Amino acid sequence: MVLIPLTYLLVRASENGWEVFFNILSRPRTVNTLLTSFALSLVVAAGSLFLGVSMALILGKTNTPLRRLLLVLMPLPLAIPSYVIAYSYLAINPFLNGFWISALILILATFPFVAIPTYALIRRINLNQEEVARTLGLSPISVLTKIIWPQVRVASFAGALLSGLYALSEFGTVAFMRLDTFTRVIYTTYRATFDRSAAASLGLMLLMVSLFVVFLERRFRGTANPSQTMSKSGGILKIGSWKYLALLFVLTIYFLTLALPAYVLISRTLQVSAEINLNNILSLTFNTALVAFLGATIALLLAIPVGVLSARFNSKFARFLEKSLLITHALPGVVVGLALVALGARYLPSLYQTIYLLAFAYALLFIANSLGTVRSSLEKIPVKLDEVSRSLGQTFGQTFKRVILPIASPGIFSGWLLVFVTAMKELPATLMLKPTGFETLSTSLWTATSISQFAQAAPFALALILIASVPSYFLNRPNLAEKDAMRENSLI
Amino acid sequence: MTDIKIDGLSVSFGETKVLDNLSLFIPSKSLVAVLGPSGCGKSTLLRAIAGFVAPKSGTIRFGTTLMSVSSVQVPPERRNVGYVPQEGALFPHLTVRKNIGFGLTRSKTSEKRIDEMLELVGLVKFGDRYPHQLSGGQQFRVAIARALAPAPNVMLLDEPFSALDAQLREELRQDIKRILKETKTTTLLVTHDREEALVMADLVAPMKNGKIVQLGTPEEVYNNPVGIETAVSTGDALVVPAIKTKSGKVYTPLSNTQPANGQLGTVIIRPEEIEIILSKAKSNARVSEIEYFGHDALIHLQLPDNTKVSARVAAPVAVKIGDLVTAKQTGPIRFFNKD
Repeated sequence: MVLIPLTYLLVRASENGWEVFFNILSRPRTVNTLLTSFALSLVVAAGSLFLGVSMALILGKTNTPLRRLLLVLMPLPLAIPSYVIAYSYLAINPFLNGFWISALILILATFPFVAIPTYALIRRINLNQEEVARTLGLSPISVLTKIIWPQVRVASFAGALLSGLYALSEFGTVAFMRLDTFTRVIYTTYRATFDRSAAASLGLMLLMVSLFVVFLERRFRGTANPSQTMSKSGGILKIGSWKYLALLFVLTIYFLTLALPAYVLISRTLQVSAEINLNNILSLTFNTALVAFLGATIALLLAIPVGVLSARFNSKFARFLEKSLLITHALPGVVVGLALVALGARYLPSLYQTIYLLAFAYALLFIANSLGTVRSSLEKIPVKLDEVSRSLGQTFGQTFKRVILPIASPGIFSGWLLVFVTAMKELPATLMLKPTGFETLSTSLWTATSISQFAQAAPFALALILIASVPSYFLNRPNLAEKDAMRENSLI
Repeated sequence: MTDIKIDGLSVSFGETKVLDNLSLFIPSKSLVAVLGPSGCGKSTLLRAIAGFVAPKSGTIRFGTTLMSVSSVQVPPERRNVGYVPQEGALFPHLTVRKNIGFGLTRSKTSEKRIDEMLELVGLVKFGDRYPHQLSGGQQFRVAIARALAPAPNVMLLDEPFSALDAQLREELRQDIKRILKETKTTTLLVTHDREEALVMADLVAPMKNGKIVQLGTPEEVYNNPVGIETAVSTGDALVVPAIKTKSGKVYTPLSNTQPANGQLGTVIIRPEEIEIILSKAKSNARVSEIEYFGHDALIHLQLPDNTKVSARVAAPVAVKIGDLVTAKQTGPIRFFNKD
């Protein structure tokens, strides 16, 4: 099912003959687009590597004031769609456009991909290692470069590749900033000409580039060090009055990423508060949640059997299935949208122009997230528990119901929630697949911003952030993590 | 309760033969310990009896009921075995009561059975706790109670005490043995800990390369091991070169004289079977090292021909390093021909 969009793109792109395909690809405009996309992806990856590692070091390794509070804020940028940041900058200055501002926004929006794993690893490096290094004559700076950096490097690079991948497939930000990368060109080609073959050719190319980046990321992760056992976590460097500079740096980043957009959203919403139609906002919110709910549920229903197969029956088939689902990670929303539009129009007229096709697109786009959490929560359950249950007279089905599912359900639920939240923020596939007259918060934000009604767009953006952040709170609820830890303890 | 009869059982994982034409009889109501080093296949044997591993050939019978032939495997849930894996593997999402009642069909009698089990393992007050609120020893008792609750044909214990600390281990051993005897449960225990096997079991079955090499009471396998490896696996053993004359007399480096010719071989001596006499007159050994354990000690001796043996002596130790002493063998002669 996952392979459908890929196959379709291949068929579609080759429909007019490979000559046309190569013709499109060798147009100067295409080459330009390719270069722009690559450059953006590279700059965003490098920028988020720098920013992410800096943030992780400052918050994990120095005595910067307010460290704990600042740390709690670190994952928050991921909860804000990058196009909302882009929107808020435009609302301040409508003339912003182009490469560098797009790159800046994407770096700000994706640096947690680097910062979170890097921070986690930094804190996990045993204090003993640092102390031994110091007794062997290394300065604190050499400890950083010779002991710490080599151990976190792999994770940091893998995170940076994720940022690069995000930049490749991001649509909203570059569209708002009128930067012609693949995603925007595909969308405009599709909208302007309905020349789906041309769009399909471009989509195929984008897909290949994305798959290549995913492949790189896999390679990196494959070579990651086995994690150290946690005991005493690392020491804190006293950096004197530099700590105020560090604080200023972190605050600036949070200001640009969180405070400024929040200010814009709230102030503009208040500006137009008289003309806000609350019913309209509520119905848009309901629409958004409804499709995301369906999408997350479809993704989960697809992910559970595959997760069970791969966590419990380690067969070749299961591994193949899992791998092919994981590459959906590389599918840009534009590509999935494009494929399903044409596929639906031609072969599934009963589903075309319904929210079910859109929900299915969400499921395709985000099933990798769902599968990841399902699988890891199943894998944490020792096979011994299955065996004990079997020896006590339970069939595999009963064992699944009475043992596996109850233990795994918190993890499975958080996987569902993750997809739900992510799907609510999706833009390009939603634009392409939504039934006529059906609007969500993200498409309304898009429409209003496209015609420069920045103030009118603010309530949509605000509502989107609010409904997306409520579940995020549950995802990060410390209570849940604590319970999990206790469970794991008794499973050892 | 039933006996368990295993005949010609072979299990392979790919090219590796794990169980090789293995046969074993577990008498009804007895506790049999399979003793062997890690990798000898003992866990696989247990898993084959439970039904988690499909043997390539051979049969497993519970009483007269065939549980496993190469073509037909009764699935684990229909064998009614009590399986206690290492460290218990309690269901973390269920209370102690629900863990114990897991294998019982829901009814009023099952509540009564759970109460019985709680009493049996001494955890009456802990029924409503969750596994993470119990100590390691308590968790293990719950695992035993859970496996015993459906009155299984056979209890299978896989290295049951290896995760527990030494003191708790000794305490639990006695307790679990009592529980299994009280309930007259046929039990198979696999372990690499020779002390555990000797203390717990009615019958000990040393295992080697996928085969059971002997089956006997703890005393039998300790005193009359069928081979050198069995001797080593059941306790400290000195492997000493020896010569057997035609008349049947066996000479070792400890003997006063040596024969001119005879059959070359090996003798197994337990360290407690070497007596040390503190007389320098006819001394044949020099004390080279002393390992002091508190309640006893191992005296390492060097014989004139450089053979090294050791003697276990009760504390207090009366010799010191460098002393010349007379070492005398006191136990039975266990002579094994050179292969």
